[in-house]
Amino acid sequence: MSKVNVKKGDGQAPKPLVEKILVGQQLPVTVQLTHQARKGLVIPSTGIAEVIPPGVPTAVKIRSADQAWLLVTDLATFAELGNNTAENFGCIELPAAPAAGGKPKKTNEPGSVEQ
Amino acid sequence: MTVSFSRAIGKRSGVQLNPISDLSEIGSIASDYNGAFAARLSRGRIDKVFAVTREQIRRLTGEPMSMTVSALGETQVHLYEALRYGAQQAIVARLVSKDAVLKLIAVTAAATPESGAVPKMLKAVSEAEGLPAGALLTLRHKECFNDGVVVEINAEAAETDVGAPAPSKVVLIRLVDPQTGKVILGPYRGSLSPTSADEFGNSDYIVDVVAKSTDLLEVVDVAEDASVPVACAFYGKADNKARYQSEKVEYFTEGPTVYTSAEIENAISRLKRSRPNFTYIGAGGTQNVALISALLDLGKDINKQVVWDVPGHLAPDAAATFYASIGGSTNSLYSQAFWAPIKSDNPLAGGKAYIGTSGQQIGLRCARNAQVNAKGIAPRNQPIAGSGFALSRTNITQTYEPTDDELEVLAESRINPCIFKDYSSGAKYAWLDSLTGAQTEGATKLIAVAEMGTWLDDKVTNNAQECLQKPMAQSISLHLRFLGDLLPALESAGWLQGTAELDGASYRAEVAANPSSPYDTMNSRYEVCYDGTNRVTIVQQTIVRAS
Repeated sequence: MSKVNVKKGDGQAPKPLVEKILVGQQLPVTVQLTHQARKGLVIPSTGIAEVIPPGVPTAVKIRSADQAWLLVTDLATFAELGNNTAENFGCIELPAAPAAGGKPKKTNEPGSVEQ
Repeated sequence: MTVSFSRAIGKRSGVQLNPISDLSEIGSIASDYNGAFAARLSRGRIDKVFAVTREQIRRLTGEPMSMTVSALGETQVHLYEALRYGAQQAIVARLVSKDAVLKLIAVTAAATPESGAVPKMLKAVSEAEGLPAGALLTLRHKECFNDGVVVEINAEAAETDVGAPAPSKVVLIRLVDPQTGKVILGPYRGSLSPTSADEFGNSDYIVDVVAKSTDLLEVVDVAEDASVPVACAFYGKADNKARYQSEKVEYFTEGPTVYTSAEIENAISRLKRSRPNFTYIGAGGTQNVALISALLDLGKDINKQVVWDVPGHLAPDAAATFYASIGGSTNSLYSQAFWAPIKSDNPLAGGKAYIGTSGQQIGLRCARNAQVNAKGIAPRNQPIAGSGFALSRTNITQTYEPTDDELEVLAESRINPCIFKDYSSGAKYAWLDSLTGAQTEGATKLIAVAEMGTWLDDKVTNNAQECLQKPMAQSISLHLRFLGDLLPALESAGWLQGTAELDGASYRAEVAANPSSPYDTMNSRYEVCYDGTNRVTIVQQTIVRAS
């Protein structure tokens, strides 16, 4: 399992983080999202219509590269708005990439799919 | 003719007539009917904002997008509803990625071979590539259509001295909408020769002709000594009609439809520099936290109300959390949030979806602002809420019934619900409240007060700007006179109420030179007491004994 951390300011250049999330994964992929905000957050790009409490891993289904992009920019914006400087304000835990040796897994380029 | 005056007289005897001095300016209120949006669209210029009217919404913003395909289609519905219900113009800053590429359209006038197909006329080329060898000219279409544009060209027939057909130096260019087939720009008739002039001596070089007529199309380069050969497919006439060659070219690549913070800031900056003006900022139903936050900051910065939606699929507690997590920018009178747990038909692209109501709010507010009285004052003290205003949609389904406790949570969070309500005047989907985000129990928590307050400040600062760089005494007199007319007009329009704070008056104004820098600074101070909005009515029946 690997983790991608999102911090304040990452909204300026989300592409490298989005690529990290998508590399080797086949969409849709379910990731575990944790955030370090002081209070619970509602993050529209997760597709979850409920409050996500801080520090509690929550399963989020990523269906497209655009959704991954929005997830990164939303988390970075929440860190910005809360002036939270934690390096791991948002932590996206990825499932283990499928075993090597098979066909290369297909992912979408960021920005290529609308959501 | 006898002229009985001169414009300047020195020592001689005579009558000097000065130019007419017009001091009757009362200021424009045109911006009161406009809303501004930052939106992802499939058409629209990306270098600055552009104005969209109701008749031209499809032509300027592109074909509607189903919200099942893309949530980004919601903004277009908001634009449509704002324009349909009263906004005169929607001022739009198109969201675009820095990877978007606007190419030039190169036009080539090749001779058609006697046997064989007509040669291709158009090619999209990069800015760096410029005018390709053998091409006639290059065009830049700034409206950036994702779906391409059809270019049509005709060259007027020319003759040699002996009447034989000669290569043409005069072309007609027009652009056609690929969706509707209608001419959208042109025709522009001009010469390919830079020294050519019309009968009045004005340049009729095609570059100048197009530049004089429109800002949306630019002739970037014309080949040296360019001309259209007689054997070209668009030379002269056929069947006594100008022979146009028509071709579609895809010249704009939008790039990613998700944006970095910098790209959002870029769109916001275009809105800030907007001409024409606007009164409201609409968020277009976006759920993008960075965009909502940036729009709220812009509203604060430029004294404009930001009307935005909390996603309708969230339950009240989640809606309140979402609102709270956006934080500081929401805590001002400029932030006005609406929540509609309602699914309805998408009026543009069909299908049923959660669609925010802020676009319609803006439209109805603009319609209200147009209803000015004899003194030019609109009933801004009437918020668009309550039994007088219904949400106009079809096939509405309310997906959540908030309890009284949940309505309390929403009001505490400064979120205005739009839900079904059974009034004695008729049942409707109505906006039940009219609260701003201001964290106060004072007047600025009311949208009506925010409407009146922001308008008054805009009017006064507009006049104060007119008074700049005038002699101090004259400035004070002009500005005082302006306030002396304006404030009683507001009182007579029912905006103000008398208060003991002002000894029973509803306003007080003072204009004077600043005591600490009296030579170059003027103070304009005014105190007003606005009329409020009845949000809560307490009814008490008391039954008394018969005797």
